[in-house]
Amino acid sequence: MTSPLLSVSDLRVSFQTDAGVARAVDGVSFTVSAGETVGIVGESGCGKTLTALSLLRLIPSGGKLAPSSRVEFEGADMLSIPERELRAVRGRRMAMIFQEPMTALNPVLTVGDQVAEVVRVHTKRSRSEAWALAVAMLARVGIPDAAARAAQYPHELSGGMRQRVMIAMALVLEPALVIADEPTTALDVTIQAQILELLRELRERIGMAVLLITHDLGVVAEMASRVLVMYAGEVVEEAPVESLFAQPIHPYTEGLLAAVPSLALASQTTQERLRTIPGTVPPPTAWPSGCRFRDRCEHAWERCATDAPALVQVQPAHRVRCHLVQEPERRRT
Amino acid sequence: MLSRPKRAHSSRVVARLLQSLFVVWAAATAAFVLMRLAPGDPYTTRIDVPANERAQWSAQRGFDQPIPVQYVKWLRNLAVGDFGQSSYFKRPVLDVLRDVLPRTLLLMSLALTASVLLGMAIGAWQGTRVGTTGDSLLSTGSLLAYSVPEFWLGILLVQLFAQSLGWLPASGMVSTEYEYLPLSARIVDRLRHLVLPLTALTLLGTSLFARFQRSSMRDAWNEPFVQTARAKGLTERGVRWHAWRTALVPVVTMFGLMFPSLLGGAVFVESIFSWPGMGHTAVLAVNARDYNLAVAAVIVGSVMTVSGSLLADVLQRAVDPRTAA
Ligand SMILES: Nc1ncnc2c1ncn2[C@@H]1O[C@H](COP(=O)(O)OP(=O)(O)OP(=O)(O)O)[C@@H](O)[C@H]1O
Ligand SMILES: [Mg+2]
Repeated sequence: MTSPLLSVSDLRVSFQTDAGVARAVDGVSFTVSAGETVGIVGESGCGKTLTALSLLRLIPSGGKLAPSSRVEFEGADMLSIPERELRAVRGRRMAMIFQEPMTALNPVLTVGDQVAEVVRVHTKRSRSEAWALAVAMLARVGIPDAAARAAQYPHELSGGMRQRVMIAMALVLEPALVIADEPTTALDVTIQAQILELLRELRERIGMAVLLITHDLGVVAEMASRVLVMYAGEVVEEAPVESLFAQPIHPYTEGLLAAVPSLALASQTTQERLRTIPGTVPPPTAWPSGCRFRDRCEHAWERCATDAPALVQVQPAHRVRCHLVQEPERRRT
Repeated sequence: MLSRPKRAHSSRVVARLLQSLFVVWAAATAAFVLMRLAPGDPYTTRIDVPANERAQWSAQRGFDQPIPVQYVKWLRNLAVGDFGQSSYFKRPVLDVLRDVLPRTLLLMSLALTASVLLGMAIGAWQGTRVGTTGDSLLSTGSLLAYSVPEFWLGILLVQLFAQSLGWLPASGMVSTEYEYLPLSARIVDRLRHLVLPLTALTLLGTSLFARFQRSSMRDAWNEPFVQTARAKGLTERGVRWHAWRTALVPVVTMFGLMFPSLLGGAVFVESIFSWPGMGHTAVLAVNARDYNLAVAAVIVGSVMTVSGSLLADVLQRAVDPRTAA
């Protein structure tokens, strides 16, 4: 088997805060193969964005990477390569689409300039060639009258158009991996569908891998082939999309699935219990002992308070971090 | 979208100009009235002349008439560009202005240029390093320069560099022997006289600009688009440029608002260093109750102030597409 495009192992990011050390990402491991789409889901604050930023070594100031953390991308050790090599990867081989297209674009530069800049930074193309490429890319992401739009500023475009600009900026050099951090969260429902459709289409044409971050399992079902479920800085379940939806094992995953209206209705067992998961995520400065989900788990027993579950393989591609794997009889029905 | 409503734009420009004109008129009128309400008249200081003679002079100039009468007459003259006669210099006010204004403009434009460049460089450097030792030191420095009164700063500079060390002249624009110097020595002489007043004004201006640039750069530095720039593979320099480009907007806005305070600073600095410019002359005019010259000085000051804010408006439109409607 060839080595995967991206391989992350034991990624740990912590912050020193007034309330103590916040272990925001706490031992995350996963791989993404070339051309594959992997989803990362989880509630707000579970460390999705921080995980994504770490891949490009863009950890916010104050964030500390543990020395054991590894991020390997196209054979390069992303966390230790020199700045120069890192910059050559950013935006060209691995690109990122951010959640908020208004604030993620520079308000005083034209959108065409912002797309062309990527080309200018990474290639030897002239200013006019870069501009032409930017206009072509803006047209490719479905911006009508792209040549005129390229000369406009972000505030002159609608939210959906701005997100298309973000996508154009990320994909203009056809990277091998694009990280999309909640690419549709800030948009209207109808626009959301268009943007997802666009991403899907470009993924096919460019043949890139996508790491799709979302809190919406519906989006994952549409886009991804494999899913990582994160909770409190850890991966709690990892599985191909079909197995995850058909046989979720972790109670947190079950809860997430039950909270999606369309999925809950389709599923026999959860039909009567469309609900949100009770309780809230604990603060990253004070993860509970044992299993981090136990306070919100309806199945929890004594072992869950003392014994931190490991991520164990239950099927070839299905891994779960829950004591129910060893003691399935504890599951309450 | 691309065709902007031109008419709305030009009518706003006209409105702004009228507003500016009104401000200048109001300032001039206030100065006119206040000068006349203040005790004494242009001849009070001439104690060498008998009182009845002084009263006679005053009457000749119409200064004994009711203020509204004087005002209408003055306004009528002003409308045809006649600022009247300076009682102190015994020359037309316009001639006096023609002499002293360039000296102030020289000092101010040099100080402003130095302040903008230095202040922006220092502030932008600090804005991305908030909380570091270097930032704290510079912040303390600019707070000091900003909060110390200009006259105090001026006196300090004079004491240190002119009196104690004797490196630089304490006052004036040129030395007494200037006329007898060869050209190269004249240039050096002028530059040496420029150093202290320029330093005093530049310290004030730099601290103002640095403080604004620092806070706007700090704000921009925390904006998500900075991270986007980094994710695109830009060098740290390129990333800083992205932040600086947006941080420029509030600084440019402040630029116009700082004009009056630099102008006020110039008045003090010129007085301390006996720099024979507008500020120095304005102080002389007020003290001597030189009505026409004092009011003209206020007009010049208010014209500079409103031009500053007009200029800031134009610059802001140039750097911020969001305001260029
Ligand atoms: N600069 C920072 N300083 C301190 N803590 C931080 C910082 N950035 C992130 N964190 C913490 O790290 C945790 C994970 O943040 P992250 O942004 O990765 O969450 P997320 O899963 O993307 O959430 P969301 O769905 O809200 O985007 C949060 O609890 C947050 O408080
Ligand atoms: Mg996030």
